[in-house]
Amino acid sequence: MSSNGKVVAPMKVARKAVREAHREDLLRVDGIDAYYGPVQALRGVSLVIGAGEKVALLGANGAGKTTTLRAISGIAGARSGQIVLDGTRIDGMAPHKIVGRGVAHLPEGRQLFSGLTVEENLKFGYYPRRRDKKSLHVELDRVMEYFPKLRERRKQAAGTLSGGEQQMLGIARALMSAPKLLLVDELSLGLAPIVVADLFDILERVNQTGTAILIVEQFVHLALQHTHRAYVLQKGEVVTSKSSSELLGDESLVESYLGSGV
Amino acid sequence: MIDRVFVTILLSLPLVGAYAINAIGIVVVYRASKVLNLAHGAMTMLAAYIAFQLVAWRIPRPLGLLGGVIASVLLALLVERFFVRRLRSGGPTAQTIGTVAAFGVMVAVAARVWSTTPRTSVPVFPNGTFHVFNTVITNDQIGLFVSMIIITGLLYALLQRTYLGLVLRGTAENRLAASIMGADPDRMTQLAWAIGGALAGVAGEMLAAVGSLHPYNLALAALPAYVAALLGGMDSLLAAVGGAAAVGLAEGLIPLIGPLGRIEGNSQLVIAVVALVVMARRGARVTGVDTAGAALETPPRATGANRGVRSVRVVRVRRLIVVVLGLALVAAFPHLPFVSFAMLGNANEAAVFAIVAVALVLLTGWVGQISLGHAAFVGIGAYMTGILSVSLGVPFPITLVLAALVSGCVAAGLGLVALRVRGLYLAAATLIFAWMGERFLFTQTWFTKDSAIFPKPLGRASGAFPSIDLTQRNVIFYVSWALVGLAVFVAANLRDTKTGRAFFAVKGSEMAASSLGVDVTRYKLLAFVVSGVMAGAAGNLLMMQQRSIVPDQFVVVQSLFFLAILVVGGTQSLGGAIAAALLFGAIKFLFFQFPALSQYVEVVSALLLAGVLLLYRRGLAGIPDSIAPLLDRLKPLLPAWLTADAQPAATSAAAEVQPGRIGRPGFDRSLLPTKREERRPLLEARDIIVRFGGLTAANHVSVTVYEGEIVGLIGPNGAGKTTTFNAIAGLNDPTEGTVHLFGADVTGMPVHKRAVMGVGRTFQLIQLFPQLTVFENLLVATHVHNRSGVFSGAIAGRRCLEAEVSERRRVREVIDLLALNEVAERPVAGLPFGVLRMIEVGRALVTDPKLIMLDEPASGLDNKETDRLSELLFSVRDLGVGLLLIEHDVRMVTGVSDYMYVIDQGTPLAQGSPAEIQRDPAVIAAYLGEANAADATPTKAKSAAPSSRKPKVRT
Repeated sequence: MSSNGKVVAPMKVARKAVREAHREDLLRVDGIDAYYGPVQALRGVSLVIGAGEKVALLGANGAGKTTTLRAISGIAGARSGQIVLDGTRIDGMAPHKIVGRGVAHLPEGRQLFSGLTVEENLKFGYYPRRRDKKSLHVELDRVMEYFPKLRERRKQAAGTLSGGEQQMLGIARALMSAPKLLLVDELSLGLAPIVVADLFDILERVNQTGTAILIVEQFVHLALQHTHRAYVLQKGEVVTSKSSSELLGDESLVESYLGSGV
Repeated sequence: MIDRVFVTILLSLPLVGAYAINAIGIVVVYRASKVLNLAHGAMTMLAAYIAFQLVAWRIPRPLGLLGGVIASVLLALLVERFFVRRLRSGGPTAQTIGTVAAFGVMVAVAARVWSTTPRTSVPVFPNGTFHVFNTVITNDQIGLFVSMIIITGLLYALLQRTYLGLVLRGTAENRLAASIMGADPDRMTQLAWAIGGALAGVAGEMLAAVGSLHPYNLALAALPAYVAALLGGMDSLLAAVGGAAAVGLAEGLIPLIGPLGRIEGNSQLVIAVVALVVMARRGARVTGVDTAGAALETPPRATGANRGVRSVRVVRVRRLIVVVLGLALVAAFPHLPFVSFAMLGNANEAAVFAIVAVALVLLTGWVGQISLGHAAFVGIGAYMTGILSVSLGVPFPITLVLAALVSGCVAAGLGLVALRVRGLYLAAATLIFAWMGERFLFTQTWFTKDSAIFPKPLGRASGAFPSIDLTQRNVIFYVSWALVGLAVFVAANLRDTKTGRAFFAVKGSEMAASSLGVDVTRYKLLAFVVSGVMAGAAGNLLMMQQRSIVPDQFVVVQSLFFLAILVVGGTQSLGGAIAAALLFGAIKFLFFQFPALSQYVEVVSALLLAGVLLLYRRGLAGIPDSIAPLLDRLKPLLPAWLTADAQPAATSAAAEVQPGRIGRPGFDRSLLPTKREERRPLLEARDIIVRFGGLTAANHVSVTVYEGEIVGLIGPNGAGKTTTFNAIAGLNDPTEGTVHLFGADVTGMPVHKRAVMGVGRTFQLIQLFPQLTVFENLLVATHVHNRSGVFSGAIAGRRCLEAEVSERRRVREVIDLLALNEVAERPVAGLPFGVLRMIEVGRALVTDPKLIMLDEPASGLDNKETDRLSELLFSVRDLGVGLLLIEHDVRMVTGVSDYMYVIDQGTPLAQGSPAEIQRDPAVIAAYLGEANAADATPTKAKSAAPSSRKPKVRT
């Protein structure tokens, strides 16, 4: 695991991560089906995430990436299959109970409390640990270390932040619960490339403190460069599961996005 | 004068205090549940009564008062649990009706337990008085205002300064975010309701202390608080207090203004008008899905009338049987041995209920526009009858017509407000309208003086035409039920023809309705007018029956009673509405026969409404469905022609189809010029720019669709595809740029007019009408071609029937083309998703378009379904219809398109044949990320130069 903070060659990290994942799985998703209204969005999706691992979930639009994250965090119920976190089944649990077990979700569209201030948003993120009143300010400081800009704007309403700052607040708020696993959905949506690169660097630092990350991202190369392993979804099914470095040079990836000629 | 103003303000303060506490409670609950809690007033009233009762039982006063507040909190939690959370799937309108049911039960129970005699309540503060300017003010009056300030302060501190308050505010704003942050949104909502309940309790006890205890008056004293909360924007506590101050002071001060001040109810009129105007103005920004009554619905059985060309005759025969039986029953009823004079009176009253119920079925059940003010329309009809007959000497059948028309005109006025607001705000607007009627219109002497007592019997005595004796109860009976028959006849005809389908379409999806050429504004207004006319006619009947009316018959509570009839009847079914009206008539008759029971009429009515909402939402109309399995066993005993239409009439109808009615006859793609640019353009969008605030979502996008081709528009997530598509389709106007359709400039033209020109549409989230069958869904799409008018539809005229037959044939043809015969007679709810997509394409085809625009047609389809859809698109193209699709599934688009446009970050990136697009490095980079964007160079495929890609993203 890269929690020692050293920079390691991606291939090596990947192999090591795969090995460790089997030894101690943080999350096991086992053959889940999920529906979005009448539409079957997931067909028997299985995936595994080891503690401290960074995994990408790729696929064309509508492939079921977001639904997978929503199923893990409990927003979208899975109709069959199991989701196991740290040895406990969490499928069928309410989302607010799953957060308490250490899964934080940064959803598509950020879902900030736009009428609340930056600081209030962060405090809300502390909800699962609210009984521990003493550490609230320690935690606020720790999280704002990552994002000095948020500290400047702590009294400002979240809705008045720029897109990049809102995304920062989203990450920061998710970190307030000190999650074991962070689910990140479309970090780059609507943001300039330079901002996205910054955010990915921050995720890297978060990961180095031991938090596992599952990333859904449409900028495939960006996602692959920042993860150990990746799953590719197509029409709600997992079609590929490889280490990120292997997948980077893979021609079939382009095909799965743009189709195979006429 | 100054003294008078000062004293008036001082005396208004307790009222301001009570309105403010209630308004805050309403706002807190609204923010948490997005529901207008109409049971709030009933909670205030019950708290006061319970405190009063506890003290009467010699419990110390402070404990008694506390008990009242605790009871109110518990009541709030019960209302939330059973009438709000349970009805969540039905949307805010169903939940609002739920709170109406709760209101009804509470008020009826209180009236039963404590009677409607006003009582003196328990003082909240120690006795004592002040003297200001020769005016005596009690401690309770001052205390009410001071308490309001303290309560507002405390609540503000709780919400703004504590962690719990933070979580409450956050949850109210975004439930999803709250739950993924670990807070249980349901518990937070309960907490908000508990606060709302406590505020209701405090307000109720204090209000009772300065006034008196009365089940109705105290419960309805909360009505101005709704106005205050709405004026304050339903969002902020302080704004709600401001609204309450405005309402309370206006009530006190407006009567001081000159001669106008002497008009009774003038302040309420001013407040209501201001509130309606504010809401209508604000309405433009109210968004959200209007799901009026959706929870109250299940897919009904296919209405027989719509079962294909051949079965029209069978349906007519069936209907004839119902009519003959109904006529026989009505004709015989007054002569039946067990029918007493009293029973006849109740039967007449049931006719009034029935007509109002039909009016509500049309407006709420079919068009989805809730009304909490129908009693006011009935009242207008009734009082107009009085004025017309007494002051102007107009005889009966003409008073009926005129009274109905006046009521219809007023309904049109309310409809104009309703066009601007949706769902919950519509409920609030109609409620305010009802309140205005109760407090202003029905208190005006000029309006009501003729109706207190009909001076002499009308009819023959006053030379009425026709010369029938309308003083006879059985004559009135025939007149009343003949009118019920007429109302049902008109409503049923409208339902089964063009107008009714347009109604259902507006309710199902306004967007889809306008894409099929339905003018949504027109049909909403029409529904209000027809419904108002019917309610006015019911009012006329009521006047004729009772020959004296009092304003109490048209108060808000009566509107809620009419709503109860609607819900018990099943909201959508005419038969159900009639059955419910008869049921309520029968309940009234039975209960008044036995004096011991008579006090329970209202309790039973309210419980019936609550029971239907909680246990059997399909209402009386659902019973035949529930016992259908039993009836099926009887089927062999019936003559064959009665059951004949159970099988789809497909095979026989197919034979009558003449080929070539869909698409362009004689169209042959191979005869088109080979060069794309030499063909006839169907759609040209030039230099489309769309800006939202500072954000440019589409920047100089141009798209052309020529005849005989499928054009694909693609781009990564957030690229501005949907924005561009909507600008081209007319859902939102482009900031700059033009759209030409078939050579004509259509920029800024409403969607329904484009539909008439020949543009069909499908939607990303399927917008079919779930309560209609597949056949009926397609039939809605014949709207643009059906030239028969509303009147012809109402009387089922020849022109309308001819149009029906021809349009049904056309629908059959499309069903055959799409091979949908198997499912044609099934409601679309519950069909597989892939089939729904095909139906949507089919529905667009029925409009006989020259161009179809498809929004992500492949989303949600599996590979097999996608292939089938692609084939369908090819065959549609070969019929001579051009297609433009935007799509996430690039594989699918490249498979079907003849030509493609790619946009990224709102800007054109590339265009060309699918093969060219797939090879384009810029496109690959856009889809896979910036990594190899550096290698991207423009290709032969007419890519826009990279330099033209202006980043317009917020950082």
